[in-house]
Amino acid sequence: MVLLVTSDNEQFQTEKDIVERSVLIKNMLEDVGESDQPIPLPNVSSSVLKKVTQPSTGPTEIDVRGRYLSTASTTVESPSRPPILEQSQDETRKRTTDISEWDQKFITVDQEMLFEIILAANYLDIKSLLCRRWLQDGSQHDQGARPPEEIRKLFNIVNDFTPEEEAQIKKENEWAEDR
Amino acid sequence: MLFHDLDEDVLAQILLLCDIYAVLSFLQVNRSFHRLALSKQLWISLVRDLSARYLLPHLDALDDCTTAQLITKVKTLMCGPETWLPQSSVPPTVSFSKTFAAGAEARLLPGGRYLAVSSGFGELHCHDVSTGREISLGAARSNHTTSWEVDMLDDGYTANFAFLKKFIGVKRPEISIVQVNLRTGHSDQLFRLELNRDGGLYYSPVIFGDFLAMKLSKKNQRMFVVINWRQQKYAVFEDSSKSEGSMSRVAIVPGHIILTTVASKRPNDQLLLVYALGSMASCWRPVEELLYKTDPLTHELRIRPENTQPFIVERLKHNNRVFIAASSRIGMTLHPNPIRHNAYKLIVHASDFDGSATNTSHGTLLNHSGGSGSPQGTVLFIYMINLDSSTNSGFSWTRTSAFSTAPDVLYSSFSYAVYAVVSTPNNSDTHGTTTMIIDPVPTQRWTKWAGQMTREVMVLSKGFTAASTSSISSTGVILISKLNGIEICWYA
Repeated sequence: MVLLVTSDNEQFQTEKDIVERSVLIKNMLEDVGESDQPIPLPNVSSSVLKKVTQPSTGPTEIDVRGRYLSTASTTVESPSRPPILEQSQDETRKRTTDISEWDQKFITVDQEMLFEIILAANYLDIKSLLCRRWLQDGSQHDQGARPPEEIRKLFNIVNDFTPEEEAQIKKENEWAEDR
Repeated sequence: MLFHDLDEDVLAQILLLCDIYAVLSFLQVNRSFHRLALSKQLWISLVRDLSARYLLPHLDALDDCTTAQLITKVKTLMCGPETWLPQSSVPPTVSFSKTFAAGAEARLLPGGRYLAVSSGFGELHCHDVSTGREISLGAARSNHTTSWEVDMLDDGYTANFAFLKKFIGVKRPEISIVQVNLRTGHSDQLFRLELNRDGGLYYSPVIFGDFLAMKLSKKNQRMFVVINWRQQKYAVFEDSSKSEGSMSRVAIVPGHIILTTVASKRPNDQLLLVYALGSMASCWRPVEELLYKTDPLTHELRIRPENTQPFIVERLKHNNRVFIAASSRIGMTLHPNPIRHNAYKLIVHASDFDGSATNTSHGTLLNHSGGSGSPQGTVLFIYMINLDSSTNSGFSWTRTSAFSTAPDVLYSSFSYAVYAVVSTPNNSDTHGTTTMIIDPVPTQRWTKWAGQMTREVMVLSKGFTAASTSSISSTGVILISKLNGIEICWYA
């Protein structure tokens, strides 16, 4: 167990494997070694940390997601994972092709919290959290990716393109759509 | 706090983790996002990331490219080379090519980064296409391999080879999976299974993730055997296509299996079935049965629509044209979307034969090559598959297009951009063939068929070239295999 102290001076006892998703905390732990010293997180509030350390619901079903378990993808290591599948830490960080349920839950939080989590994730260096979740795999959108309109709506962003510019940009990027 | 108050560094970080499809969506949001998502640094990183899995030559010159040039490189993977387009002002241009020593069979591995060459004795070795470096497959070298397939993992250099060996003398047929690190040449056997000698004839292996599928033919029965090799269990799907001429197909995407079959009710038309692997939990059996039992599964226990509900049943129908099992041929090509995570394109081509077919009265189709028994125009069906973990089923399936084209594409495979390499006999010279790249997708530029249903992009070889074969990779890299060498061409 690791003791974390947030910006509002709350203390959290957290499982080591959960906090080690944060590269920042992992490095800190390596620096201090085995010790009971609390780790201060001056840029993270307790409410955000609660979200960030929500425990995972466990490994996903292997039958349905067999492919994921066999590639450099999951950020949550499944205990049943054979050693041959272990990828280097760098590889796992570089290509997070899968979103664990742990990450998925964050799509449901409100906008204010979402920003704080993005900032916290950036500070804590948790790549899986900083991930594409907010920009693609839109929950309502059947095609799987968020179209620009939906990103604008989700984040309250004003469209400052002229209609001509918007049409031009849309046309320039049509090639990415499957036809 | 508003989203645009976020530090640009944070946004840039998020973009680095997105796939290219998401970046292109992001740049359409507003002006500041547009500027941010067109950063050269970002695109250099995206192209480098892509080059781990796909052959993208001239990487050493990336820093000299503009953002637009970098995007063009990516576009080539999706849409094919720019010089192949009908509106191109220059003829098809080779931007990179390399020649390798000849072999009995040469194949580009998915993505085109590596080339696999087999000798006449079934020994297989690989080459890194950009550097020419040879990779000895060590343990993967195997004599008497009847067929092999490969699954490239997302890192771009780990390849899972599935080898299917026929039985020789007293030996049993055998299936094995060997994982090869194509950077180091290190290999590990992940799975090996001997099969019952009297269990029937296994062929056409397909490997993807934890799953391996093979066709099995025994007397008049046909089936697909699917093995979860990591969990050492198997299931059998009924293949109800009874005719010898029919070519049933199977493909695997994460969590789902796609197969061609025939409707049990008249007129027995061709269907595509998608099964969710999660829905068949009770159908799995221990894999050892394939060795000990001559009849692995009785008819009743095989998975078919009557006893296991498929996730999707798709009828191959286009403009009132259907394909009847007895007379149709069918092919399937599955490619991952190069710029989008968890998205795939499935190209199904179906064609029927003159003579035996009962409903070949389609006025719009020309009988291209004439003569009885020759195929009618082929219909291409293109599907987009998205595996989105946030929808209920995690699987979305859309038919993006369906169109008639010339029958030439019958036996070819397709690139992601739906180009194909075809060989047709020359009319004048009965011994010669013409091999060319064609674009089978009709565009508005052509009025009616006018006798030509495909656009000829370029001729690769003409005349007596029996010793030469050509193929196209998923990303449009062309492989030309001749007696004196193998040439790989990347077009710009």
